[in-house]
Amino acid sequence: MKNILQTVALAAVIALLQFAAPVVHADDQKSVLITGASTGIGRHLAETLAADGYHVYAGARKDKDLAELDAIENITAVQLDVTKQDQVDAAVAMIRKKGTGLYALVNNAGVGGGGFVIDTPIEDQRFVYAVNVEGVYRTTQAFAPLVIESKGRIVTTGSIAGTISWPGGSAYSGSKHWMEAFTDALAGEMEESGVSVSVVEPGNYKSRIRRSSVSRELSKLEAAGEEVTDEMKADYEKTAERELSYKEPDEVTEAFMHALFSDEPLLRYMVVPNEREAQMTIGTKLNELVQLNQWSPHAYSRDELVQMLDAALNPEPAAEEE
Amino acid sequence: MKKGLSLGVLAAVLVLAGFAMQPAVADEQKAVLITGASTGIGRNMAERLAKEGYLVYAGARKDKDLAELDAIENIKAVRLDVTSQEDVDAAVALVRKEGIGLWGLVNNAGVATSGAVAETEDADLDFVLNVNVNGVVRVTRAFTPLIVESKGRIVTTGSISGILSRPGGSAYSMSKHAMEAFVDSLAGEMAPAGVQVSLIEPGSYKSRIRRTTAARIASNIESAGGELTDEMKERMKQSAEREVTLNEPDAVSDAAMHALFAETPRRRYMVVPDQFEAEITIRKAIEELVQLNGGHAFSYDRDQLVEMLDQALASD
Repeated sequence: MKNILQTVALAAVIALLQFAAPVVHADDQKSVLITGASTGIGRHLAETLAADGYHVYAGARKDKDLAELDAIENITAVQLDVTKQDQVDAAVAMIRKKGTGLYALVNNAGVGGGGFVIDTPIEDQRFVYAVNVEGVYRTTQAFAPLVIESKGRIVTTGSIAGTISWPGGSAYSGSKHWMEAFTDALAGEMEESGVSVSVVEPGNYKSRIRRSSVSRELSKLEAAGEEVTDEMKADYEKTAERELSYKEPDEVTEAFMHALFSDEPLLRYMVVPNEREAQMTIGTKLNELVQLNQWSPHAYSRDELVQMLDAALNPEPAAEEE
Repeated sequence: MKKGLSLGVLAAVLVLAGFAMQPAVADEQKAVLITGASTGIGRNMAERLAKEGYLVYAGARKDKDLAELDAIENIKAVRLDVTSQEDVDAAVALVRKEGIGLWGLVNNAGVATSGAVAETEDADLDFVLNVNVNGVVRVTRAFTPLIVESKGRIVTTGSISGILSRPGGSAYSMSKHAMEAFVDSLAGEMAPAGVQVSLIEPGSYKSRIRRTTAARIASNIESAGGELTDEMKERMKQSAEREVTLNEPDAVSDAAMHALFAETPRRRYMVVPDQFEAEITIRKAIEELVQLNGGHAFSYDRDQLVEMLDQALASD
């Protein structure tokens, strides 16, 4: 019986993930703003939304990217560096002026970067936090009133790095852990206004974030008049090769579509390209749980933990009984 | 049988929690630097270490606190604002000059703020980020060479807010979530150097952090020419009244002693004053696990999750 229930639940979940948005008519066309829409996951989502008939405000920084995005039907390119309050304010004003309202905000702009704590300048960590943390905060504050008016959605691009941290990853993982707390808090804060909040946590998919991080390092060296060695160039090539070998973020976009348009959006969408990344993430979470539980005089036994797991898997079993 | 086992586990935990340190002999006196040692958890740790014979470099900002700390045997007060690179560099120079090395660094200085995302000022967010995140990284970078020399310990004060995140608590919770990542990354980075890294995650204990936050908010409002409403005053009063009724953080210092001196320190020490705080934290961790696991092609079923839990328990 339990197996049947689980199969039914699984089928329902799969059906949800394959949820296809109907083509939208122009007169009730919903608008979605995506930050960091020039490449990677943001670009993929922008193009999918536009192709499905939604109107996309696509945030980008470079003229070339803006022109390219603007040429796509249903996309309005918006100059938007999330670290700049004046650009954020200008984007809000532009949307107000256009009168389209804003159904959803997708906080997607993010940068990689970091290095070992001991030898990475604190400015590098500041940069990651300025974009990934303060940028999201600033953008959310600015666009929340518009999203509240439409009782819409706020969706943020997190990462499995919101759960996993590795040597050299403290700045990036720290910023994505920050997003986990941000999402939980914001979801509670927005509930009264009828705005749903989700975080999409992708694993490794094709994007430009890794290449951008390495080339930023290289141009910093050049600007400081230091030599970029052949070894560094080979490093970049290796990063590029690896990044280009990753899957297109199709299922990441599917998760976003669900978070944006499903009647019952989820709080978290972990989206990974293979079982290894699922295993790593869930395994890390379980290790953390065990570590949290181990010291306290109020520690739970194994069986109590399993009971709590069952309760979390089946939040209201009584309601399901016939 | 099960009951016997869990009693056995409980007894073991109590032994660990009651882990008594041998007073350190003066000629091999280990030194520990604690940031934010003027009040609360940091002060409790500093006094505990000093009483047990360790040398404590106690970081504080105000003259009055520095003088008070300096008067305690085995404590050397150090002017240390973790947001000031200058202070941090001077503290490193001072520790070098003393010539007894540094066994442990306790990243304890932290601030709180409160407010919903939609109404938190950029300056408040910057402030929390600067102290709780950048401050920890700045101090860790500066003192790590000393800790590497002694193959010692780096301990950071996190919080159960590294797991929990409630409406209005986001900047603080977010910064403590970041500490969870920081510690896991740093532990991997330091392992080759023989330095062990731990995170202490206290629940609600007596400290000054809530009162300090309330006072800071009040003075911000006043210096901006605003006025405190009666409701605000009442909330601050309640928060202060509640704070002084909380347990002294002795159990938090027990965990810090273990992290600093046990042969096999743990990565995480959740230290809570009651079952309620243990339950909300552990349940939240499990809920997040279930949320991460749901809705994708590689979801695990219940039995697989239990098997993975058993593996995690076995490797602990």
